[in-house]
Amino acid sequence: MTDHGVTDELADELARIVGRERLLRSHDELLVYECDGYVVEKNVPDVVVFPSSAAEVQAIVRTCLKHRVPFVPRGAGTSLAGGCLPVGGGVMIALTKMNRILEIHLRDRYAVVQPGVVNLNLTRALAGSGFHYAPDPSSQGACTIGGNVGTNSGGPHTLKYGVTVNHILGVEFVSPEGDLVTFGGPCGRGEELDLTGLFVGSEGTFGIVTRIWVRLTRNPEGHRTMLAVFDSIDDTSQAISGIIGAGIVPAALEMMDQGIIAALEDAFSFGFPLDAAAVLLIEVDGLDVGLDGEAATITELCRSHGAREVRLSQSEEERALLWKCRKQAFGAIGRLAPGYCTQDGVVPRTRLPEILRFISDVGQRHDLQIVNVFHAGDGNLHPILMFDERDRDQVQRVLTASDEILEKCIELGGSVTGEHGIGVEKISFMERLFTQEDLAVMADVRSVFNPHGHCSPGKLLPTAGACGMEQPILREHPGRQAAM
Amino acid sequence: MSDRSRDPIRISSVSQIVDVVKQAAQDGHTISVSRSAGSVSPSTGGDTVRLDLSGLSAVVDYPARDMTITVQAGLTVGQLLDIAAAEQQQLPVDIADPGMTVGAFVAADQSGSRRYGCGTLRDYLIGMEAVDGQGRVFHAGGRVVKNVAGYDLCRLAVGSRGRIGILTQLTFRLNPVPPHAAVLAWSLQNHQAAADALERLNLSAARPVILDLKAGPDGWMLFVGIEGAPEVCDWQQGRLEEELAGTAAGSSHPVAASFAESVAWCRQVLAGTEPSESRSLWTIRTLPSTAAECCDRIVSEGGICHCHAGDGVVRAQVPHDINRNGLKTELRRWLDDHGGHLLDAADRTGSGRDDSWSARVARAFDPSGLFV
Repeated sequence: MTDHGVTDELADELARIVGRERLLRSHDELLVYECDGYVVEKNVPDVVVFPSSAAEVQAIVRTCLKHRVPFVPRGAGTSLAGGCLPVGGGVMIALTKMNRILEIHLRDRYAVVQPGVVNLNLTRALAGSGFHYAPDPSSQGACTIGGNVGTNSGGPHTLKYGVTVNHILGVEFVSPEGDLVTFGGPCGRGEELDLTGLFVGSEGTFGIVTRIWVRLTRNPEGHRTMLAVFDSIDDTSQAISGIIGAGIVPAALEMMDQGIIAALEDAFSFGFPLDAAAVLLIEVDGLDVGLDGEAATITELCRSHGAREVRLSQSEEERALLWKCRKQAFGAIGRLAPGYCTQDGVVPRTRLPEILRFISDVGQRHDLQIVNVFHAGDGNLHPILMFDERDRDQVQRVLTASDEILEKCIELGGSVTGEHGIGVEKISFMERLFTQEDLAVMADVRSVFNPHGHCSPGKLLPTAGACGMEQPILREHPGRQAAM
Repeated sequence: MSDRSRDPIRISSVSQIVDVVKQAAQDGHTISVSRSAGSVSPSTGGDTVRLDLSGLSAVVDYPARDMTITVQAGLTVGQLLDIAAAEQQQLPVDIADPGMTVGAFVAADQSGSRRYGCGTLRDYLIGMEAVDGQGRVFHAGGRVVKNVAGYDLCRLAVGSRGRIGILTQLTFRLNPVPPHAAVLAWSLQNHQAAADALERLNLSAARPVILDLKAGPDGWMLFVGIEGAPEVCDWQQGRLEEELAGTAAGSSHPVAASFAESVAWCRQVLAGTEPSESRSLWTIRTLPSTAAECCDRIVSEGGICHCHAGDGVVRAQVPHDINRNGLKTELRRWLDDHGGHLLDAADRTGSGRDDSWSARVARAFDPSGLFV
């Protein structure tokens, strides 16, 4: 028996539900599940189970309840704020085996999927139909739609098409009390509150999602994809502000600075200008007849804000490579440092010049390399702070620098997370973003769904929400958790 | 017991609302909020404290280059639209009465013809402040266009009909005003022709923002709205004419030829389908593929439908002199088989213990049932 009450009896009961082959309990196997993309905090679950149906999820949740053991859902583990960290151990319910696309209805523009469907696989299944699933997180080749629902994921094209919640019509989930519940559906809601909207982004604290109704979006007829090259960060951020301020809504407007350009060029040999201070990846989409005009306007705006060059992608292959570079930027960071921490602050778009200057200053003050690759059109920053986690002092400086950057985002009227979620990483910021009354109201809402706090304890809200189960994160790996 | 319906309290601050809420809770009264500036909300019976929020009508923040606006809930939607229009921006959600307050607009989740291409209020509300039934002033979201910190209570506010509290401040993201817009109309022979046309338009080369049907004793009409640069609109009109050849009775005729006319047309549609003394309004949500058939069932019984067909939303005007209950029962049975639901404001009872998830969530905000 562990500290968290996971007995052999409980493990046996779980094995009877999912089968021995879909249950992990050896420490070596569990290590894979000790963290998500936020590697600064880690804790191994006591058990990982892989259900294949809603009925199995229900049985697992009821078993956990009976044994008063916490449980947490997990998709592909690509989240970046510790959203699926098993705080306090317990049972991790990995949904990757529930990966079937159940229905596609092109005439009615929706699909029904299980939570473990990889985001990109849905769009691949729609190839040739004239439709796609619009939310496209950079991790879309790996992340699951269930995970996207948990964190209300964004992506480069959310500037025009919206985030996950704008594309979710309904959810079926197993409540923390073990009931199978459905909110919404293909015809939307009736007189009831928009509980689907509330569920999206609840970071697993309302239950375990088992089925999702997603909206399908018509493919644009064409694209124009541009790469604008700048010699200064200030000019780049002024150009972003200029484009948005001119009332143009591109499909995507992404910024990459010199540090990340170098890593990407090393990885993909795209032909990025290595001497540029930053580049903007700008895409407009829609009806072909209007795209050249929009591209010309954007080109002119970039030039008027100091762009030394604006390249128009000349082929679909070139566009695909450019997007591959952008979407795999985090992977390329491995060329720069053994570890990194990605932040997710948001500022009003007109405050981008100010926050980028501040980030540069923070990097210098703390002697840290910080590179930027982010959704500039949304004001959604992703400063990437690089470190070696074996160096305790360096990790501490990263945490301090991250804190300063997010604090500045709040000061500028923004938020600490645009698409990654609060998870465990930013939980201390909730009291800075919200008042005590705000948090009390949110805690009351959580209690409606999760009255005993067994489901995803220690997430999103700084208040306990669990019956004494929220233990400090275990620190058994000092070599990999220097900051702990 | 006193009926205070003729004496609404004119609110000028959030703290005043907190005081009123706490006092009402103590006195065992309920609270309702006027829908329009200076208007009196309809009597709900019992001892109800009525609030007029027209004094809470400030524009808190409008950084136009960020394309967001924060306003107090008592500002009228018409005022908000005028302020945005001065910067060539818009909140592209249709409303019947621009005199409605922004708070009431959000609480009612009103939308119209442009919902097909532009979405609804849930796509535009990014921040809020409200006072709940315990007198707590709470916030959610913020003033940036992308923000996932905390539970998304903004979604709950949209269409909440007051159940989660009195909305006091709202932040919206705005869109640019398109350079041009138009609404085109085609006459159709019957519901089958309408269904065929809608099926073709689901894969149209154009990208309509409006896809509506009107059906009644005068026949069937298809309305398609387009937006964009003038050359983009011209191109779309040409494609639509080609695509609908064979299903539509002849070529289109314009019912709106500019952005302003398009917005006015959408407003007229909503206003024209409001309930009256002689007819009820039912809102039916069904699948887009069955919307034309749904309309046909209502029209054949003497009703008139305006249908946002791209979204499967039917606004059905049902005369009081027909067997409404019979039709409603028959439609609900049909919707059970085909997907969807029928909403009739007259069905709202508000009595008895509701243990739905919606009611349970509402009680987290308003445990003593203060808001009516």
